[in-house]
Amino acid sequence: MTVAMCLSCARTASNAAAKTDAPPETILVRNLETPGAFEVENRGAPLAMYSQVIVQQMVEGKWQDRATDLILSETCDWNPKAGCRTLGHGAKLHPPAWNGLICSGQCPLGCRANAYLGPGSFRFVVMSCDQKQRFYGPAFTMPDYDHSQLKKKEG
Amino acid sequence: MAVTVSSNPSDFELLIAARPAPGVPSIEGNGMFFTASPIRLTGFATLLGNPGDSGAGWKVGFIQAQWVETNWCSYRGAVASDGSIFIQRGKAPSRSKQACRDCVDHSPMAEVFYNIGPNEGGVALGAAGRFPMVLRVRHQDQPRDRCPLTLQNTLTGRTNFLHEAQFEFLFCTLLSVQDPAGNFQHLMGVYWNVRWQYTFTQPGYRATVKPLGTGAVVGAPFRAGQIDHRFASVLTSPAETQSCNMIFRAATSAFNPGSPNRHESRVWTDFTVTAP
Repeated sequence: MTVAMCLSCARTASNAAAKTDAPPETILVRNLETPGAFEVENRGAPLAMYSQVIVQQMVEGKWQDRATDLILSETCDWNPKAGCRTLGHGAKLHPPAWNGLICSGQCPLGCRANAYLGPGSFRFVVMSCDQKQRFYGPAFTMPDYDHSQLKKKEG
Repeated sequence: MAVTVSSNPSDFELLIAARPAPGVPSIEGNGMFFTASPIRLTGFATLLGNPGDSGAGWKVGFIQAQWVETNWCSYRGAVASDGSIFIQRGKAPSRSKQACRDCVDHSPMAEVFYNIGPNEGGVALGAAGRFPMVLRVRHQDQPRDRCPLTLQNTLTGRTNFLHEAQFEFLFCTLLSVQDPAGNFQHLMGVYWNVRWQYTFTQPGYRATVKPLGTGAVVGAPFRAGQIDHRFASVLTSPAETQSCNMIFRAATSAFNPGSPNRHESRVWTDFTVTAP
């Protein structure tokens, strides 16, 4: 399991310049063993969190946002349009793992237009409700589709 | 000389980089998922102009239409007296129409192209610079759908289990150029499809493929001339506001009890799959 805190990652985020760096050791984004699996822990004061999770991909040495439908929720029946949710001190969230797809990447949806983003180096970014604070997870590697969890599920 | 699109056959191309295949259905949560492996296309077009001309405002990208959708699933109880259910998501009223323009969710329908995401490579923008100006793009799609594993039969009050499903998604993808005035010129295209038909038996939803209903085909890329009448009306029309993703998601209303696309029986029934 790898852990990253906001400050160290924010320094390398090419597109985070306009955002406010959050104080360290507040919101931690950890990668879990399976590529795309992650958890979010609040080590600081209760904080309202934005409903969407950003996926960034390392492209030519820079982190770039990729459009996906990831949400910061442990269940798929939560409507992200409902707004923000508060993460209390010490609270941990275990959202469904990202499978690499831009559509139905985490929760059960059908998709006609869709794409698998791997292989590549990615990281998750979660945000405060006002989107002014970004919390960066460590990099992880998504395999190509033939070696993905999606493909493995086909047996 | 105004900027133009080269019609020289060596100045544009659509290549198939990966061909799709229907993956074996797999269970995720309370659903049976049908996921294709990716189709990947690459293409390029060439703008011509004179010194002083600018390619700004020109776009090259892929436009995709889905022109056929077959989409049904049937359910059976553990015993015949538990009943059966047939869900039709490929026909009206749950599915409002067959042909649709296919755009990824973050790409507005009004932009017409399949994927205008700035980091996606789906659209290349012309710019000031030297001519000939070669604009390269890439395309990827990986259709996916699901059926709930179980439904409750409202006639018998018993749980019915996924018994059979068929999906057929037929597409045409075009390499197209849009000029600064918004006019489109289609250079090349390719027809492709992906199809599943499986039965499932209990316990454990053991999947058995129906080979005639399962497969994928990618046609030979062709020079686009007159657009196929079966989807010409949806290809670039600004009147199209519902993407294929939106249309089929709305069709999930077929699962709702009382939907005209949901048919229930008190016994095991072989439903007519062409019925609405």
